[in-house]
Amino acid sequence: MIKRSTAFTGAILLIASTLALGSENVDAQPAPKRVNATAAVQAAFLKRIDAYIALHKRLEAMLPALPKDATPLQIDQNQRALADLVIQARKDAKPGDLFTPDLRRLIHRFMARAFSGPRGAQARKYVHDEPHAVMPDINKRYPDTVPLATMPLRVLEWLPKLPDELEYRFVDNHLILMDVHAHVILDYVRNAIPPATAAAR
Amino acid sequence: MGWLRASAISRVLGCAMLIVALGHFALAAQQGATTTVAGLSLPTRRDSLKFAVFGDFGDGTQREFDTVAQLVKAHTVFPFEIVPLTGDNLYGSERPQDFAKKFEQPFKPLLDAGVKFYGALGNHDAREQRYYKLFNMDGKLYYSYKAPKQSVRFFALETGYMDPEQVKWIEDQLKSSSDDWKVAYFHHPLYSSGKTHGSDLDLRRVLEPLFIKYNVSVVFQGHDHLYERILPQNGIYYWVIGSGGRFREADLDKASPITAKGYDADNAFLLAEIDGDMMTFNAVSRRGQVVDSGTIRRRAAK
Repeated sequence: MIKRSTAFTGAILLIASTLALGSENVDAQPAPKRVNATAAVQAAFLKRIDAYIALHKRLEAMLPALPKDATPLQIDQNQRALADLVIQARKDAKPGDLFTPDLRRLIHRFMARAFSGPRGAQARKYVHDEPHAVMPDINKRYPDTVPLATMPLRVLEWLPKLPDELEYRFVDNHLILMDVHAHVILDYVRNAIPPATAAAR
Repeated sequence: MGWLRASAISRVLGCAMLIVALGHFALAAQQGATTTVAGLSLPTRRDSLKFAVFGDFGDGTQREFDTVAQLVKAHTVFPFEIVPLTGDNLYGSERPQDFAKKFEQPFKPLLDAGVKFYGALGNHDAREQRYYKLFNMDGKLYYSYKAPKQSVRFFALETGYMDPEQVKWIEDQLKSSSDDWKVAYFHHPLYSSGKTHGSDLDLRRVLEPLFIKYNVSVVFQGHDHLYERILPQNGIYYWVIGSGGRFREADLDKASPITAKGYDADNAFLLAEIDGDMMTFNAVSRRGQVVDSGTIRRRAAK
């Protein structure tokens, strides 16, 4: 159920992300080349997301559809069955397949700004209000006992918009990309949120 | 002499029995106060909307069960039809048996009576809860619904993932609603005097202007494990109702300037009744005592 994977919405996203980056560009360099490069990195990420969603849909179609009044047992079985299929299909997946190195660099740069200053300190407080030291791993189930960290709006505004099947989350200081239907971590950016002292600089 | 001694002894015994009996009576009266909902002051009018608000509860502990038992008792005298949930509906693992133990079993009398629960997701809730039929979320992370009575619409938000799409959705929904009462509820509080979490200023910056602009009258929130009624903020009444099962004793900042009434001595939930322009409310503790009550008027449309 990708809502906006058409070329048209992709183009809008490209423009929006370009504008978003422009407003966040603290270096104040009128560097269209750099902005275009950023937009290109984000667009490439969305292409990889589209490819993953195609896989997700193919795998989900192999499972019996959940009835509208599904029981918790049916929901759980469906989720775990999908997780097994996803993990099997991505058994060779490695860190950086989706969050490629160039995108990671952008994310680190953005997060350094987003988590600096008084508002950044506030955002850090909300993200870490129930901290759990967890090191994310690809193709692993999101730990059942770890609460979901709040995602600040300004972070979600900057990150490329995801289809309904996927979400960004912070786990400790790490940014993860999660398949919410399968409850599986697909990729991560380690230490996306910089240490408080580094962000304050 | 022997008779006199026996008579005196019997008198002493009689007095002792009377004292014991009175003691039992006093104890029974005391226990009675802790096992029934005492002093509810709700109009319970025929065509009013009666509802309860419950939050931060599903941990499967005796505290949760005791608090839910009070909610069940309250329903016998105050037959609420719906229960908006302010999130953290299930703590820890969410296996099928957890839904049974932490929700279906304790709430069974209410479910059997046809009471409908409407979930909002907290940070401890898996996203799949939106598919759970008894939370009536219809597969959505955020949604709105019209109350079965009165001109009231509820808006359930997912404050853990407030993305631009959801911000646009809530604005559109509030804008298009012509209901007299607009009631929003969600997990992370815009206003709270809880020492553990407190107010989420980032969320406040985003949501409060919309609530003001589109005439929201009441907001229910959770996350901090206590009960708090906030002094009206820009004409809007906010509550923190986050001690349905989880509880943090003495977590309320007593020096907070925004508290109208706080209760952090035990678990609590809210009962409320909307009739026309007025909403009457009672907050009830795990021991069945009314710890806060009052009546408010809805915000007038501009």
